[in-house]
Amino acid sequence: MTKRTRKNWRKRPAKPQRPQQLLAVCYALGAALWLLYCLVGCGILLNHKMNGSMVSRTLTADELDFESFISYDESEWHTAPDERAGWYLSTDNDPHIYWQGSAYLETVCLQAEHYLPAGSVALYYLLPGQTDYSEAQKVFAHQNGAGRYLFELGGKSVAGLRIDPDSVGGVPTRLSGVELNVASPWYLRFVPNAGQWLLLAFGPAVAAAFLGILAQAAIREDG
Amino acid sequence: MEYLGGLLVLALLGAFCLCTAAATHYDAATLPLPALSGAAVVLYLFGLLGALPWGLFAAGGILLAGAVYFGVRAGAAAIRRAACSPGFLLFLGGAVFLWALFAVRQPMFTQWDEFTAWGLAPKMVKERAAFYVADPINLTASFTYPGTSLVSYFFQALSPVFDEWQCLAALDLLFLACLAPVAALPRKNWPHSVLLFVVGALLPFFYSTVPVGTASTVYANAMADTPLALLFGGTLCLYLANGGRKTGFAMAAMPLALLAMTKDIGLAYGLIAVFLIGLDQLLTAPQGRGLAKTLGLAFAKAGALGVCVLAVFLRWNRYTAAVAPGVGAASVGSSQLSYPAVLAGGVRQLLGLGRDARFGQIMSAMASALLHRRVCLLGAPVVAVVCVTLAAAAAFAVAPRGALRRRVVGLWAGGLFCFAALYLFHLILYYYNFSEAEGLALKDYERYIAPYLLGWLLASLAVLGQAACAARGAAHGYGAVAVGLAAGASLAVFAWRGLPTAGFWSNDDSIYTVRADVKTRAQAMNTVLGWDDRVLVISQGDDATRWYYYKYELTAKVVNGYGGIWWGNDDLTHRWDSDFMNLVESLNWQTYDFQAVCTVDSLTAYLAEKDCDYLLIDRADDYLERDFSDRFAGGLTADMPATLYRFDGAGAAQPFTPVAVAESGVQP
Repeated sequence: MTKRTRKNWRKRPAKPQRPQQLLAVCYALGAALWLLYCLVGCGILLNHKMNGSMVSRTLTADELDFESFISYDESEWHTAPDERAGWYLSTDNDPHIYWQGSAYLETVCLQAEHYLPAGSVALYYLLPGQTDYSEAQKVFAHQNGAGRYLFELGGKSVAGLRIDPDSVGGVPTRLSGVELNVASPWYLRFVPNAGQWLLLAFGPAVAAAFLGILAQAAIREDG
Repeated sequence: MEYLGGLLVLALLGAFCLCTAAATHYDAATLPLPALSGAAVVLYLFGLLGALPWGLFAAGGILLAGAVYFGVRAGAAAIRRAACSPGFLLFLGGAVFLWALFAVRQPMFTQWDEFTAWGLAPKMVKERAAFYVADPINLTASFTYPGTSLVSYFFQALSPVFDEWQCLAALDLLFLACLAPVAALPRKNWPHSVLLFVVGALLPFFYSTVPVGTASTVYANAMADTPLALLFGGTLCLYLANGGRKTGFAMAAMPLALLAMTKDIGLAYGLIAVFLIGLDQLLTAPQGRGLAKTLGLAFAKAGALGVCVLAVFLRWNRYTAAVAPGVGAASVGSSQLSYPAVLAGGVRQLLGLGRDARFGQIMSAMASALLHRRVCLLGAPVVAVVCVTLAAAAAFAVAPRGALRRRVVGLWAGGLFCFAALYLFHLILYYYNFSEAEGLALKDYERYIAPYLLGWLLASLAVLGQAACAARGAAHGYGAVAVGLAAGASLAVFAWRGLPTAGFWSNDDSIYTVRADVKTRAQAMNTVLGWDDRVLVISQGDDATRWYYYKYELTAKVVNGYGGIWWGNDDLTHRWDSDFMNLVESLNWQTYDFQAVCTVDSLTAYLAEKDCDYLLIDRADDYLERDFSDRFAGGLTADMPATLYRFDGAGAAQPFTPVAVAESGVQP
């Protein structure tokens, strides 16, 4: 039996990896990268918590600006759906609620009761230095319980928010507040969402295929 | 069973494909498409006979019997070997993933045409267990071809109810079945298979041009455009993968039949696919076979496939003509010209014989659109043709001399010729089938042109994969690089321009609030309504959105309203037919859209005239509260919940009696 030396290690012909091995390596790497992504996310979040740019608080109507809304409390011509204060009526199909301020945001939750169905509920955000809201920086809401519309920004430093609470117009809406950075259990950070599951399920296979293609590109196949 | 039913059907389909592949030595990736299409064709035949539910037993029985027969013949070892097909595993993995995802997310229909046709038709087929054309209810969907409905029906076979998410997931499973043949390559070339499958899966995004910020409907879409595109491309890929075997071409028959029953333009796509298959048979015939024999064989094979396409299409038109005369499925446009008449007239104008000004304007618009109108993430149709050409050039460069190179050239040149023909055909359709304004604006141009380009590119990628796998020497490496570059470029373009704000994977259920509200209300009304009932829906202030949602949701015949002014007498001068109506005291176009001047006498007279059984007031307003209350038992209030009233005839003192009430699903 030949003794292995540094010299003949180099001389050993490269043995092509079996697809199963390559796939296993890529899926293990994918899982490791996911874990790393989560941990880095936690680190960034902690850093923002410590430097005070990430705060969990609820904005009240006084801290927000309204566009294309009538406040029932201030209008003698309109009757609110019930006796409680804080009802607004959207006057067209593109009403806006603005918040000016800087913060690091993971999630935003609009707490609002709609007297009529709202159509889509969306949030736009400004990054530092930006002045105009754009369709490219838009998040649709997920209904997280009655009257709670949750926007997942996934960790962004923003310079302003615009919430479009309805897209149909003429909707009486009672605003309870806009919650920044909704408290959630820490372990949920490690549970992938559907898009991330999609990436975790098929991304490693695609990565393995690219590596396999590279290996095949180096092979000269003779017929 | 609502959630697992589709997975069980998928398991049966997968078992059939695996066992058949093991016994016949076809790549298992090439079998889901013909098997699924075959099941749809069996359902189609039974549907024509008015025995659709029996079709499920027949299709399921054939799949089960085939799986058992071929499985026993092949043995466990061969089945295990067949299961190692990358394309098949991607199909199966993707299908299970999408079904599970949709079962959790439960996406809904959101597009206009889904409520009037492409979503309504699968719903009616499932709920009535019959072709909707023969059904007297909701005939608005009668022009809809049955292909997508049958695929949806097949996967919902074990579900007790129709679910929109199941319909959407079923169509996605069809898409994956269409993509699988692209990945049917020798097993040692598994990286090519994976990458080409992924590129194929991204193509619907590549040909989606929705504005940024809009929730994407790709893979959550009941419209027939993507099925048309992928069936066209998938059928060609299937032929390319199996056409080399003596009877391999025959596997394209079932997908071609399904293609022909997907949309009216499916006939043209089917015949184009047949033409390309025939051309390939000519070009790739073994050398030494005589010209006459080659021509004869190619003609016979293509002819046999063409018969399948024509038989399905013509049978459907005869069927609709027989059970729903006047629907006009076999004619074009408001002038109701036959297809041959339209073609003859269009060709004459194309040749300049009696060309009128409008035809010339549409010609100019079509020429300009070819260069400038965006149909894909990279731009105009001409850019998409360049993409196809690049794939074909790469395939030609790496393919060994001989039949494969001729195949590449044939597919590219034949595809280009057919694209030109299809483009001119659409020019003719814009002239004959659209109003003047719509024709000049080339309405829905992207929807009509992109499916062909998508299918052609998919087939070109398949041939690139074949060429890369067949390459020898240095070309083998270049082939692998070409496939890698194609995949890398696709992923880069998708990440750069195609990643939507929201899509089938994201949990954006706030976009369904109006739909969910109407659904909740309609469910309460449906406890009273039956399919034979006729109901008029009033929703004050609606822009017709809610009316269309009700029309889709209610298990009753929704009667159209009127527009204009009518006092309930014989003077119909100022009244016209409409669909939805907002009741107003006098015309004031700033109050509501779709206004109808209507008193309580007009309303009762109209309900009597239309032989209505019920009146549904989804939303009232001050006018109804003030002027209509005394005819309604219990009266009306502006903020009342949605209420269904039984109509007891115009002569009754209080003709309207409440029979069902539904509070809003929204939290007041």
